[in-house]
Amino acid sequence: MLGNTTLTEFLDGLRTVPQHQPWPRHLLDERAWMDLLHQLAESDWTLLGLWADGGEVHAALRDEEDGAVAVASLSCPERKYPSLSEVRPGAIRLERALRDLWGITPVGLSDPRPWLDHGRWPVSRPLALPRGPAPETPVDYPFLPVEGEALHIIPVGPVHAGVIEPGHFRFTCSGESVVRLEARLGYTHKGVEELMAGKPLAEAAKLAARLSGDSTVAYSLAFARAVEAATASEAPPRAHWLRALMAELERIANHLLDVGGVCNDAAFPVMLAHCTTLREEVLRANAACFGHRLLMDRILPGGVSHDLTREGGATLRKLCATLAQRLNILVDIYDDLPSLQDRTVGTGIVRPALARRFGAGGVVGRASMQGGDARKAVAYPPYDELDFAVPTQPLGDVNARIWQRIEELRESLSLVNQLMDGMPGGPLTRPIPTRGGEGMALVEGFRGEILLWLRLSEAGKVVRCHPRDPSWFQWPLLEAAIENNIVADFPLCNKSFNCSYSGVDL
Amino acid sequence: MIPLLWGILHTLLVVAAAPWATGLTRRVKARLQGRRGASCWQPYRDLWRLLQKDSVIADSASWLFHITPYVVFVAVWLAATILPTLTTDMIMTPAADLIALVALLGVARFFTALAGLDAGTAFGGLGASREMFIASLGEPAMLMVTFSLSVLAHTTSPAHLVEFVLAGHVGLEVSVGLAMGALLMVALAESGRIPIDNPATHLELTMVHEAMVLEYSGRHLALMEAAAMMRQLLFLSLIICLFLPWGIARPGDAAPWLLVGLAAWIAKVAALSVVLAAYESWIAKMRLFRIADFLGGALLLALLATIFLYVSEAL
Amino acid sequence: MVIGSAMIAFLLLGLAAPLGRRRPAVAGLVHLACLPPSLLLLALGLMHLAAPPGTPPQIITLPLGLPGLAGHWRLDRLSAFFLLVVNLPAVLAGLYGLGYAPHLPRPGRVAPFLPLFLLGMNGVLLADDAFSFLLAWEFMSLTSWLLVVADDGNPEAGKAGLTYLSMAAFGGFCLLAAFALMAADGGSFDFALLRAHPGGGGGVLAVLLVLLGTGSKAGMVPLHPWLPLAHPAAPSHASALMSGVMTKVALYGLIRILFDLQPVLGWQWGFALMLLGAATALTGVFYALMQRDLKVLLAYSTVENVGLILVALGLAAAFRAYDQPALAALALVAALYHVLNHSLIKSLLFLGAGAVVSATGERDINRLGGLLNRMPVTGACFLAGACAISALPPLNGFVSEWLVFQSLFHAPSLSHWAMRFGVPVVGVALALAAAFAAVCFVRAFGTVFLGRPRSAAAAAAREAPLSLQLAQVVPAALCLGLGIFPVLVSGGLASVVAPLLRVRLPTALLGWPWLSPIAPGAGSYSALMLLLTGVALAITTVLVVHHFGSQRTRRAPVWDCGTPCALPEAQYSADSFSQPLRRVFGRPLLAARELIDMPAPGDTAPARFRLEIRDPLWDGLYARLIRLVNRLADRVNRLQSLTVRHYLLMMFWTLVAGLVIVAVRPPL
Repeated sequence: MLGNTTLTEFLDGLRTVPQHQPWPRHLLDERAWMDLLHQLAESDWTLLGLWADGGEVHAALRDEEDGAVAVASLSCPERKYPSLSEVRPGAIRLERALRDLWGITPVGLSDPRPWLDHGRWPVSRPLALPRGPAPETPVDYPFLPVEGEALHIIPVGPVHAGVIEPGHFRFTCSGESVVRLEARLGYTHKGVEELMAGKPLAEAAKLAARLSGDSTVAYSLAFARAVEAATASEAPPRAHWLRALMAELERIANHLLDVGGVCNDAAFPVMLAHCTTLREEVLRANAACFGHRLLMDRILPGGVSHDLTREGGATLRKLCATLAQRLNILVDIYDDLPSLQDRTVGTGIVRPALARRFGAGGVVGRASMQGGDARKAVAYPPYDELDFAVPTQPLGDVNARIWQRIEELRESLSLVNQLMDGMPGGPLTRPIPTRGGEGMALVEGFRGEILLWLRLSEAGKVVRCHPRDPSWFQWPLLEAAIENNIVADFPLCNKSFNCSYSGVDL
Repeated sequence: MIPLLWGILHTLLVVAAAPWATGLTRRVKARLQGRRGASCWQPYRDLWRLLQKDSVIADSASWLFHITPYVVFVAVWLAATILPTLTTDMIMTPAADLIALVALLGVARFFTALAGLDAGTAFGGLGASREMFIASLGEPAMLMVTFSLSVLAHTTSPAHLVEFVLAGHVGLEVSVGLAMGALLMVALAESGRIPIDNPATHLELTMVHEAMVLEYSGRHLALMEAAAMMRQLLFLSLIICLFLPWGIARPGDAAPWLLVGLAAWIAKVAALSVVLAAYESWIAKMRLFRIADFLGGALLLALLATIFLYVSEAL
Repeated sequence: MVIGSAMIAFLLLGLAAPLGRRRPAVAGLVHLACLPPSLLLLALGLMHLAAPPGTPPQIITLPLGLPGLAGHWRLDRLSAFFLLVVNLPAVLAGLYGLGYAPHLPRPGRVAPFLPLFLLGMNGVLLADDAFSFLLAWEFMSLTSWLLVVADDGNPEAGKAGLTYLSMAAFGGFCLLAAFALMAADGGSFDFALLRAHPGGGGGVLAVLLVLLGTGSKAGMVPLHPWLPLAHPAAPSHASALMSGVMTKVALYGLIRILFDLQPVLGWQWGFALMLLGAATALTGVFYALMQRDLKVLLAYSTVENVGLILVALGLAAAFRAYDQPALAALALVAALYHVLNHSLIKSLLFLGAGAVVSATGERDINRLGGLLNRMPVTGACFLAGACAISALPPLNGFVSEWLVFQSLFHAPSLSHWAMRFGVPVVGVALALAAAFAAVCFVRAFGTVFLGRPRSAAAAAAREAPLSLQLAQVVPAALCLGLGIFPVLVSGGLASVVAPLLRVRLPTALLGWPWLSPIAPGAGSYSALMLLLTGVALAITTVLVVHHFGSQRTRRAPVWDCGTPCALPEAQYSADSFSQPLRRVFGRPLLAARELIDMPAPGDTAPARFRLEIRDPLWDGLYARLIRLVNRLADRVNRLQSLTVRHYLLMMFWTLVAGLVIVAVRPPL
């Protein structure tokens, strides 16, 4: 069975769940799961996500050769399953989170520590039935060991001096040299999966839109597409185009802020000032065209809530022209400033092989030669009709991540123009039929590929919804990016990653 | 009597003017970033606000932590007092030459670094370690600038250097230019400005001076902040005093000359603050270990300044 | 007479002490009994210094010594000053030993040798002929060696003792040869005759040997490696004497021979001394910066300060060669000022280190911390010492450093191009050394006395007993005193220097509060004015702040970013503190390498850090030398088991060689 097989071949013949759309979901027994582990060690299929639903564990996989996506499910009545962490280290945190939430033990996972559960919840195993009791004292969280003489520890966060999301970073250093960095997250755990369960679609869509505020469009889109897949319905064409337009506007606004933010962390605030004003223009155009600066709740299952008027279109075209021009000026500033280049070039390198191992996508992955982009790989409408490139960078340093954003900004500006040109007419929404089913969506947010899986009851309510943020596979790379760098360069690395805290804390 | 009077007036002037110079730099920087910025007087309000607050001191801190703000403030104030800015005719001027001025700033730095270590936090140590690393190269560069000026003017006393320059003994010399370059570089480092340190940052891991004073609050923080402002003014005044002394009154000048001196000093401080703000706006902070190259360069410039003196003498 | 009785008292004490070696209390008493003779010699030195200028030296001739050569002893201003330098710390060490010695592991192995050590050092200062000088010198070496190996349970001490003994033997041999050459040239071993003999002096070789002999004892680079091994191995009060005082006795030898017995040397010697001094200062402070052992750190700092003094001595020699006696006097005064300061400061610091070590049992500064709260007096005194040695005004260390820089800044007036280009480089070295010293002592004081305790022993430390405290408070106060009244001190030193250079340095050209030794407009310093103004400003500050601001102070946990971390490692370690400098300068100088093994993200295996540091000087010179000596010893060993034929052959060739030499050699 081992050898050069494709994912489809491998899963062919296994039992398939009927109502799972748009990709198949296969039921594996323990032996098939073990075979899958062995096959994963041989092949380079990407792990897209790992989550649980009741007594089942689901792993979403993609064969990068032919783009085939499938979900493998294992029923684990004894509440344990063979861990994927050996063959896919990106699964480690997902498995730890899954253990915290469901009480399902990954056998073979070398890290026994909890991840999301800091011991401050009123219950333990909140998603399992029955739930566990609350621990008496908060967990004493042992950080990974470091050996060496006269090292010191720098505990940073979760409360920071700046207005940023909470996360704890534990540096063990000798002077400025970092010997080990370990992140501890979970401070913004909101119990999203529990909150989603049993909610009607409209409410669940609002929750999804608020999982990670800066990616609200991407999450709304992912939720809408998953619902549409589960109910075998389709949004009208104009809705698709408007959704893509909003997604690109969100990407432009965030990338602008990130480029400025990285420069600001190198103590070059001029760039941030200019980038912030540009972003502000995007946000104002958003408000003028769609009635919300961040475009929150504009995308609904079945369509979109707001149409683009003729004036709105004109505003956006003007915006694109200004942005393209002023972006070039900023790029020239960045490119011509040796003091700034000196900070970013060669700092925080993520080797392509490592990015590959963790299945990291998005800006972080593409800046390290990983070409994955759901807009191309999944080619959900209307991207199948649009002309755009997915740039990548070979070096994987901070500079590469800045350039990646700049090039993506340019592609997005071109996409906005194409979207305006080819925008079809027609209705904005199509009603969602009330029926049960399982749906999955892969959507490219500004950070990378968002996976959203859900199961609907026959009454059309959400039974289970699992959003997987792209940051799950990017955060661990930050710990490797600091290798051979000094403490003082960490903020620069961190900002160039700009991973989501809220998105992974669930 | 006159030198005593001028001395006292000057003492009050430097402490009163320091926040203004800082406020001016901040405002110009804000303008260059396209922001409106706070008024030049904002630092006074900030200091006042800090003074009114209670001081919170870490459990693990010792008595050293209590006295350090006073030691630091007084050491910097003393140094700023001694340096002639309006007139060389002040009672305190002979009490310290440039070597002693460097050492007085050294006292402030020594105690600030110790206070950084006192509370027993990682950030305090981080700042102290970096500050002493920077100073270990900045201070020698400063001493070598003194050396080259002393070879030129046969004095290490700032007042006599002013008189030497004003008497027209210095032409356009390569050495003076090199020494001034070195002093400018040191001034950036010692007053904690970009590209060495970023006083406006919120990123603890990149801080130098701010990391050392992270545990300070209330009146103690006010003193530390005021000392930092005064140090910045001191370095501006030092550049003015050594390289742009025109306008400084000398013993025997009539009292109105003092007003001329004051006006000239304010104008020069304002001009230098604007230059500083513009420079800071167009450069990113350098990597920590590049500072060694930067200040090593300053040291080398100062050394070259001394050696060029002989070369030009031999020509 | 007075001198003799003091010396005999030391001798008797040393001989009597073993009688009570089984009782620790006796060791304390012996130290107490060292106080009167030390005080006596101290008073004697002071009285001689206070005598009006022109007072002739006191000379005593004793019928002790080689056949036909009486023992000559002499007390002049230079000796008197050094009596001060030796006996002031000796008094402190005695006082300290009173409370400290009984608690040593082997008090019986310390008590007899301390008075004998003092006898040897005082003897060197007073000797007025080569034989007495060498006798006292070797006596000093031997007794100090016995103090180094006093702790026989410590294998490190054994190694240190061996290294020290070989180096002392080397130094003694150099001095012996130097005196032989000088005597051959000057006609006598008697210093008085040498002094009177114009010209001669034994030539280049003699000067070189003097430099090697005294330099090796003082810790001059590259002859210093024994010093950081030996000084810390001795009990702390003996370390204080070895580091603070014995190095100064060695420098006394250098000054006595170069500035008194030898004719005026060429400027090249001054230049060489300056370069050696600069190298010594930089090496010493840089190694001090890397040390974890508090006492080793202090020993390396001694090397640095010896370097500073050597630079000043080199400057003095160069100025003298160029016939600029006023500047030579300035440099020599600077050197002597620093001799006095360093003897006090280093004694203070070693005594403080001793108090810390006996309170915690720890010498590794990475395992100390927070002692200022538990040992307030020791901490405050150590802080004073740290400030003084970092040359912070208004303490004494700054004054001597200021004088050295002032004389250095005038050295480019010497017309040789080597001086003109060399002096600025030496200036850079000294400036760097001064700045590094401040880093070094922020690091040392910061990790030992500030922060949170890094070990249980540090957390349980108690303040030292009263006699130990007193022995620290006195030098701390003296550091302040010598710093505030620099005009007074340098005036006294000018009178010490005057007979040697035949010029009296003016110290206050601007009037009594201002130290202004060169010219009225050439730069001045007034510690008193700074202090008074500073106090006035401080009072103003306190009044203003407390009148207009909040006076309330609250205690709270440190700012913990939301995650309280009580681990002692969550604060900087000493190694971490100096890592930036280690990274910038350690790579070329120490071949320092950081080896970091960082596991992949999520991997639960431990990350590893290892630091590789090598001492290129030891590896490149001493290790090779040791190998060479071992190989030679093996060869020589083989000579002991040859056949009779071989021995006869060897005798024959030796005879032939001797005859050839006699034949070729010019007649006497």
